Amino acid sequence: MKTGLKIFLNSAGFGIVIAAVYWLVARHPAGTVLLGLMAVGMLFIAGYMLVAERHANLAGDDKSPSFEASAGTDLGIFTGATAWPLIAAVGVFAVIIGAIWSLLFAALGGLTLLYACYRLARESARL
Amino acid sequence: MSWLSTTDHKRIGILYMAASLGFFCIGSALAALIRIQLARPDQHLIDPHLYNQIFTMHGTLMIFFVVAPFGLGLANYLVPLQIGAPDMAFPRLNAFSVWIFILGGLTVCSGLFAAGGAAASGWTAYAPLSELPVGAGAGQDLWIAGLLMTSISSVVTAINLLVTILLYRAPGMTMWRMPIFTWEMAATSLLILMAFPPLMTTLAILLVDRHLGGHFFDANAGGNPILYQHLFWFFGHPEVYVMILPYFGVITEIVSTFSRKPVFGYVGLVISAFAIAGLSMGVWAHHMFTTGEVSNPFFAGVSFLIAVPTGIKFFNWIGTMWKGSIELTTPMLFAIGFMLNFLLGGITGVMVASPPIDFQAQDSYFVVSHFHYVLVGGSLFAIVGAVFFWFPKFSGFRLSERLGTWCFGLLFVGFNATFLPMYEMGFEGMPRRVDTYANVGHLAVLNLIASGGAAIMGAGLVLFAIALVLAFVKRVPAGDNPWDASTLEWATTSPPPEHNFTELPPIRSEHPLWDAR
Repeated sequence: MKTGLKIFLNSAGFGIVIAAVYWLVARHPAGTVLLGLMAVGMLFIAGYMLVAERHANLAGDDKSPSFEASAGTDLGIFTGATAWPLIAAVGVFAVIIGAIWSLLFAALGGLTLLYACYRLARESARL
Repeated sequence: MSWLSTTDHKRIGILYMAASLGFFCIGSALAALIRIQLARPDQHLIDPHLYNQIFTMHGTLMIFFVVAPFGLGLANYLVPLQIGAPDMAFPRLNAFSVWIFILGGLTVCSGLFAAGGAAASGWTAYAPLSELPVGAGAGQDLWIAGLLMTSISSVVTAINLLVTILLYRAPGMTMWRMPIFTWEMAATSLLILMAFPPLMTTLAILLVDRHLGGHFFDANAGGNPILYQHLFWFFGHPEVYVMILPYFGVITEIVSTFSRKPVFGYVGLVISAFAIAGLSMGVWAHHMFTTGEVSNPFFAGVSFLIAVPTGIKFFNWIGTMWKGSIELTTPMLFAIGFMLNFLLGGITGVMVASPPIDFQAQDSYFVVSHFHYVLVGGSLFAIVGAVFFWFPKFSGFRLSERLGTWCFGLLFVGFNATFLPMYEMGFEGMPRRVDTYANVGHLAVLNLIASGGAAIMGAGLVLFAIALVLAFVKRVPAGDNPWDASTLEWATTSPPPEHNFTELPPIRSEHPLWDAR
C-alpha cells in the first residue's frame, strides 16, 4: 500500500510543480487549471488511501508469506454470469443517443440503466 | 450466449481484443482506399467529401477502437493472471465496460451509413469543422456519441485495473515484484484517469454547441476554437502514451523471455513509465505551435524531456538482450522490429518537438509518417507480437512459427516501404489529408512506392489471419509454458481455468517461475 500511496503523492507533487512552472512561463489560465486539477485528483486518491486504507493489511504486501499458515482460508466469492452489465451498457447507449435525437429514447435508456443498476446491486447484496 | 453474460476477465479480455481486431479490419480497408486513391497523381477515384470521411474514420477507428483498447483487452486478460489474482476487482463493471466499448465502436461505424455520410472533420474533430454548419449531418453526432461511450469504457477499465493492481495481488507479489507489463498498465490507467475526463467534457461541450445553441467554440459569436484545441490535446497527447505504454510492457516481457535473462534495470523501467506518463500531461500544446497562441519554449522543452525516460527504456531492452541467449522466435522478431521502427518514430518526434522544424513539417506527410512509425511500426508490431506470444495461453494452441516469420517479414518490409517515403513527401511539401496531388518533384514515385508497400503490409496481415485460423484447425497443443517464460500467467494451464490458479508457486522475486526451476 505504501508504494501505491507514493505513486499518487508523487504524481500530485509533479502536477503541482508543472502547473506552477506553466503558470510562471505561459500565464495561461486554462492550461494551469487543467494541470492543477490533475494534481487535485491525485491528491484526492492519495488522501483517501491515507485515511481509509492506512491500516490495510494486504496479502500482496507481505514479502515472505507462509503459505502453510494461510492454508484452508476462504478465497472469496466468484462473480457469477449476469446479463445486467450488458443491459446497463444498452441503457447508457440509449441515454447518449437519445440526448441528441429523442428525449423519449433518452428517458427510456435512463430507466433501463436505473433498473439494471438496481438488479446489479441486488445481485451484489445476495452474494 | 454465455459470452453475453460473462464476468470472467479472460473472456472480457478476449471480447475486447476480438472487437478491436474487427474494428482494425474496417480501419485497414479504409487505409487501403486511401492508398489506392493516392497511388497516382491527379487521380479522382474517390469524391473529395467521401475521402474526408474515409481518413476521419480510419484515424478514429485505429486510435480509439484498435490500438488503445487492444492494450486494455490484453491487460484485462493478463493483469489478474500476472499478479496471481482470481479476477478483476469489479467483474460486473468490467463486463459493462466491454459492452459500452463495443456499442461505442458500432455507433461510430454506423455513421458510414448515415445520411450525409460519416464524420469528415478528421480524428481530432477540430472546431469549426465539427461545428454547425460545416460539420452538419448525423455522422458527426454519431462520432461524438460513440467517443463518449468508449471514453466511459476506458475510465471504468482504468479504475478497475488500478484497484486490482493495488489490492488484489497474491501473497508475496509486492508491487516491486510485479511484471513490467502490469506496471505499464498501472501508469496507463493513471493517464486514462487524468486525460479522458477532459475529452468527455470537450465532446459534451461540442454537443451543446451543435444542439443547444452554445457558442463555446464559435469565434463568430465570441467563442474560442483554440480552446477546443487546448482541451482536445490535453487528452490527445497523453492518449498517444495510452497507446504505447502497454506495448512497452509487452516488448519488455518478450525481450526478457527470449533473451533468457531477467529484465535489466527493472526499477529504471518502472520509474521511466511513470516519468513518461507524467511528462506527457505537460506537452499537449506542442500540437499547437503554429497557432501562435501557446508558449512554444515551455512545450518544446517538456517534449524534449520525454526522450530521456524513453531512452532509458531502449537502454534497458538492449541491456536485457546483451549477452543473453537470444532466440529469434516470431514474438522476438516483432519486438526487434518494434524497437527499430519506434526508434525512427521517436527521433522524428524529437525533431517535430522543435518549433522551427515543426513550422515546416506541420500538417505535412512528414508528421503522418512520424505518427505511423510510432503507432503502426510501434504499437501494431507489438500487438501482433503479443498475439504470437500469448496466443498459446489464450487458446492452448500454438501458432505456426513459419507463418509468423513470413508475416513479420512482409509487415516489416511493407511497413517501411509505405511510411519511409512519406518523410520525403513531407520534405517535398505534400500536405496531409489531400485527396489528390500534382505530379511535381518525386511525389508520384514516392506515393506509388507507399501504395505498393501498403499492399505488402496487407499480404502480411492476411498471413496473420491465416495463422490464427490454422491454429484452430490444426490444434497443436502448446503446453502451459511453451516459451519457458518467468511470470505468473505461465504457471497455470493453457487456457487457464475460470478461477485462474489451482496453485501458485512461491513468489520471491519478479520472475517466480525461473526461481522455481
